Amino acid sequence: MRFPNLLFFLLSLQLSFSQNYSYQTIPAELLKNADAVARIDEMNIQIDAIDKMTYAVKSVITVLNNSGNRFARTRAFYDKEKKIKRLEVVAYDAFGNELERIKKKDFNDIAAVDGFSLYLDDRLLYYRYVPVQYPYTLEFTYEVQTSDTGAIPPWYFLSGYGISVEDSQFSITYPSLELKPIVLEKNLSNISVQKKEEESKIVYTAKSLPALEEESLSPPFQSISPRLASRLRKFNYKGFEAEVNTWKDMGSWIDDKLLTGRTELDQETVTMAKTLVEGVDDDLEKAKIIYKYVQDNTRYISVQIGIGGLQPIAAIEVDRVKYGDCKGLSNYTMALLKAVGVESYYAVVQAGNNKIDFEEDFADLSQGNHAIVAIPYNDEYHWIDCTSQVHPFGFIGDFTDDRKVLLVKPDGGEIVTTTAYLDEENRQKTKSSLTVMEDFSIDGEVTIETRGVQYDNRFNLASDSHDNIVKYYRNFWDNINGLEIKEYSFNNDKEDVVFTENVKVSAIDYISKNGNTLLLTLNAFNSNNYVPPRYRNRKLPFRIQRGYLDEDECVIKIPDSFQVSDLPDKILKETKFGIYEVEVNRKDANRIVYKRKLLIRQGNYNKEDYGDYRTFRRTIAKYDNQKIILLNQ
Amino acid sequence: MTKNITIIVIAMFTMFPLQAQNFKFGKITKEELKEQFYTKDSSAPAAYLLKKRNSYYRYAKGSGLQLITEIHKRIKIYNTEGFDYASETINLYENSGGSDESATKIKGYAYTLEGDEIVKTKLEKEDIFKSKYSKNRNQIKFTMPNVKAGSVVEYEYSIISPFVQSIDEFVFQHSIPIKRLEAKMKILEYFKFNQRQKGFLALNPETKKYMDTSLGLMVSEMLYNLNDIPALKEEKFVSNIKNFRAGVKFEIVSLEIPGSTHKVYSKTWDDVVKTIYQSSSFGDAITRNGYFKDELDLEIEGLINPEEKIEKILEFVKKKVKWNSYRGFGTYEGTKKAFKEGTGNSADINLMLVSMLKYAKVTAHPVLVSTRDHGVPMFPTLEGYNYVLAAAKVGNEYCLLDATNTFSTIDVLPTRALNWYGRMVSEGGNSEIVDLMPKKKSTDIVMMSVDLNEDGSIIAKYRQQYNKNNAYLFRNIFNKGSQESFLEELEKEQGQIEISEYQLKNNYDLDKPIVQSFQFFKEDAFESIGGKLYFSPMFHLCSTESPFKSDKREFPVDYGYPWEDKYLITINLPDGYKVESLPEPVAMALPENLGTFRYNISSNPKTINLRASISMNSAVIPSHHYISLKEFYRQIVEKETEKVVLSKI
Repeated sequence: MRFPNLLFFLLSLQLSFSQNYSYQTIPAELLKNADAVARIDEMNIQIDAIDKMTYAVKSVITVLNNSGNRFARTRAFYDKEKKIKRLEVVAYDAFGNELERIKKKDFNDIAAVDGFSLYLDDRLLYYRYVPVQYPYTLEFTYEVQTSDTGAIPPWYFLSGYGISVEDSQFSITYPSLELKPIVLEKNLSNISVQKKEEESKIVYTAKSLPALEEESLSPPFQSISPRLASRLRKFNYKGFEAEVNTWKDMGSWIDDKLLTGRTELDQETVTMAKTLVEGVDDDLEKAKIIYKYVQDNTRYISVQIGIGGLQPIAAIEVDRVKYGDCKGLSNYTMALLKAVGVESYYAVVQAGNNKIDFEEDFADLSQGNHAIVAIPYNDEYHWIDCTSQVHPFGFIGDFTDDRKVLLVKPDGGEIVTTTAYLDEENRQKTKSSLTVMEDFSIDGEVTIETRGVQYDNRFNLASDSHDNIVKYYRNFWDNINGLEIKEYSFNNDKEDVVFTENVKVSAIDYISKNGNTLLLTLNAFNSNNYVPPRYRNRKLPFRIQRGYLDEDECVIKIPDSFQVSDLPDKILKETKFGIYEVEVNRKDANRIVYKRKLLIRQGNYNKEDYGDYRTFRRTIAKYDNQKIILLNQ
Repeated sequence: MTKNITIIVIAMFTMFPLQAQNFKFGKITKEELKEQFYTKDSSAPAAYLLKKRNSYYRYAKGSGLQLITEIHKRIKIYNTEGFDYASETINLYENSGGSDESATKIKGYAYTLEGDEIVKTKLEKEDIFKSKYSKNRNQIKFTMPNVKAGSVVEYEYSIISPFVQSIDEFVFQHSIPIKRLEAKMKILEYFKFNQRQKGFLALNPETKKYMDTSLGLMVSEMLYNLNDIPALKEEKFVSNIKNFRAGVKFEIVSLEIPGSTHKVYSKTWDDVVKTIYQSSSFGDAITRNGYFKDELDLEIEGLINPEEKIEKILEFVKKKVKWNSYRGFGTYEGTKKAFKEGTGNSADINLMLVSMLKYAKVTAHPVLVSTRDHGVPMFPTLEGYNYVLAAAKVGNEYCLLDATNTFSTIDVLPTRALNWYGRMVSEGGNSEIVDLMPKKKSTDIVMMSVDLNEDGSIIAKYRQQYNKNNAYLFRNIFNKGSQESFLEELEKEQGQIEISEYQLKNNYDLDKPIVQSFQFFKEDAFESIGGKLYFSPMFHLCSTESPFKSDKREFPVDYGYPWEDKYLITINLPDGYKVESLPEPVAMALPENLGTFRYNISSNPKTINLRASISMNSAVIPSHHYISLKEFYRQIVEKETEKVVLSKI
């Protein structure tokens, strides 16, 4: 018995000596576009029981420059269910010579801060290594044990843009078929990955993955990066056990274990809710009243304790303090809706400007970061975000629009797509008049009407301060030097979801005098200069996440002493990305009418189309800056 | 007539008691709840109706002397944007010795008006969250229940602190207005203390000395009563808004209990400096030299001239020890350990630098500094400074050095250190003031030669030279990541040019200016209208919008250092075209010679030549010149965007 042990000891000694972390051994193709190289990136997960999982991480990162430090963060999170068993950092110089060894006791122990929560009970251990030279290498190893088998860490073969990988390995060992994980493979087609299934073990390995470079308009990293997600059919999470095969099961579990009993309200509140909707029969109208009550009486405050990451605070609690996080406020709204006999469902969504879908065939707890409410009515869903005090009923804007979400119904979960705001629905209509004065200054009156996502971008103006509003317009019309805002007024029509801005402006020297010629830029109030950057060799596909339609009409009045030279021809450009149209006509001796229409279509396009899209935007930028010559008589 | 006036006067007097607020805890009025907006600043999302603080000392059996701070706040939430002001965070410190601050008697209510009824909701114990934030810091957080637009929240608590000599700053100005401010500081006769005021407001405290019967001691009391304090708003080019925030700081100088204790904390600048100087983490660090002798001897062998020595030693320290981004004027690891391990805080590094310079027989002293984010040191206090530089004598002048950044050179300091005045500490702890703001202009010179193509694009040769602080900033950006990513940013920043043949000179030759040169191609660089060509002779380099968009400004504009941007541009005329018109040359200046703008343009049959420059002769432009500065920039934008017109021959 002694010999094999010794042999093993010698072997491992051998192994640890043969590690070579010198940056000189990194192949050239892995240095391209890379700020850091993962020499070894390894996670080995061992599931011992439904409530016992250990994962060991070893990550050896060679940081090539200052920007690469973001990949060498040495930190590990823990909480009540999750213990850090060991943790160590070893730093090496450029040639792989050991510089320093940092032990667990040298790590800082701090409360985790997410930037928006009032309170979180997560904590982390971190160590901030100070690089003394570049390149350098950090070997970070740690082991975590947790009872939360419902939260198996995901695996990213590439952890972000700007890092390449020499050796990546992910493995899961499981004790029985019952606890065999299901692994979801995403975007593996572009890299070579070996998958090996042994008895009670699944192993993925990948070698030599070059760094990805971030490109403008590319889809969110998560939707292009090669990665794995794992889940167990039977799992434990914060002390709750579950058996989940499908989203239907997941929905039932959430409903049974996390939501049931949470919508109780005291009698007084129920009566209050009923009084609010007295005399109203229609369920949708009732829902509008309840939503308005919630908006007027509560606010968003995030407090996350234990299962609170998944389970809403009871409605009765929210009713008492009148604040809650997205889950708590959604659940509270549902409780009030229930009190007045309106059906509604809890929905979990991945919120954010990027549209990220729930994976239809992979039901796990890691998806989603926000909760909203769906109200079924005449065979469609009306979505409300209860964390907003200002959004109109049924309008969710670009935070949760057009994506697959998990709807939790009493008979199980269901994947449903939220309201989409399509191209023409995101409309901005600008009607303006621009009066040119003899001293080259201008006076302008502008009315802007926005709908859809453009409404979402604008309606907050109405509640902003005067200083910010003036600043906003000066930035919005930064094409006009020395712009003065003389007057403004707003109308927010929440019923039809239309926002109207009426603005009066002036600017001295809008007409530029160049020698004897005077130049007047035709498009004063909606000039679009956006041109996406050029790539010599575009590598990633691109996405126009949301389309929109801008329609402009401007009557330009010229003083009698000036004469207008020739007007430009009508422009019409039609591409698969949208339409651009400009027409300038003479109305009478000193008035011309400028009309413009710009439609941009949302869509996913391949990288070969990028050049054409860029040409389209260049054309727009060019003609939006179009000038005519005025002659001074 | 007389009758009428009397009536008005009486009416006014009788109205007053009605409007006046009751600042007793819990005495919320309907008027306060009904208020729709803050009358003096309708843009305020919330306002302190009352902000009250009372700090005093007491003697507790078993615990000894304690500093008690009672807080009482009443806040009106006007709209949803003001919700953030309904939450409170209390930071409590504990030192490793086991003594810690605690908060007690936390009490709070939120008030709303429902119909004509005032509804009052209590802050419950279970809604107060305590956490251990980090090793030396505990945190208590709460947010008030039942808050909506229009609510008034009110809370109070006391902080009991064993750290009797450190009195938190009295902050009198916030990002929301304060309607009524009351602050009281009561200091025992045992303590000698300093107080310093800051900001633009006249504070006019009421001061009195009297016998406190409960303590049986004489006390000094400072009382501040202020009304309608405006909100403090952020602006561009502000060194640190904290410097302009109204408030008062107290510092305990010494504690003297007759017959028992005599403890000096600090008194004058000389005292502060002496205290710092005598601490082992400072004084020793600039005299110890055993640990570096051997290595340094090799470095400076044969050097005689102090300038050469300074340069060499600065480079040596930069190479040996990297900054761990911790500030401080006292060493963290100790210079010896920092030297061995290769990392240290600002004091480890710059005190080591001083010590090495001294060893090499160069006159050198540490300079205490408050970094930009730390604000301007108000008065003699140990906390006034948080950083240290080195000063070395060349001839009769001192130059400033900072080895915490690889690209910092003689008199070119990291931006964080460019903050008003520092204090140079000489042997024995004497000190003098040193101006930290650079006096010499940092230049940025662009030379460009442009050819116009028929399709509206241009091809240009471009050469740019940066010196001093500009070169420092460039080097820090360029060397952050790969050259590819730098060029991508540069292409984007210059309006989507396409760069080729990029060359960079003197990246590591720090005593020489940075020179970058390249060729570029740019699409859609000029316009053709009715057969004529129109373009700004600066093309995409012209300023198209002014950085100053606010109508007025309360604080100086702080650029960090004086600077000059120069453009020397040659445009080759395309075949078959002649110059029809050029913009008029212009020269203008800001008052008091603070800045100038010059624009000179001329042409010959083959080329157009432009020489333009913007020059700021002072790092700081006082706020009373803001309107001039704003107009100055408007005219720059106007001139630089003016177009050259070319027509066919």
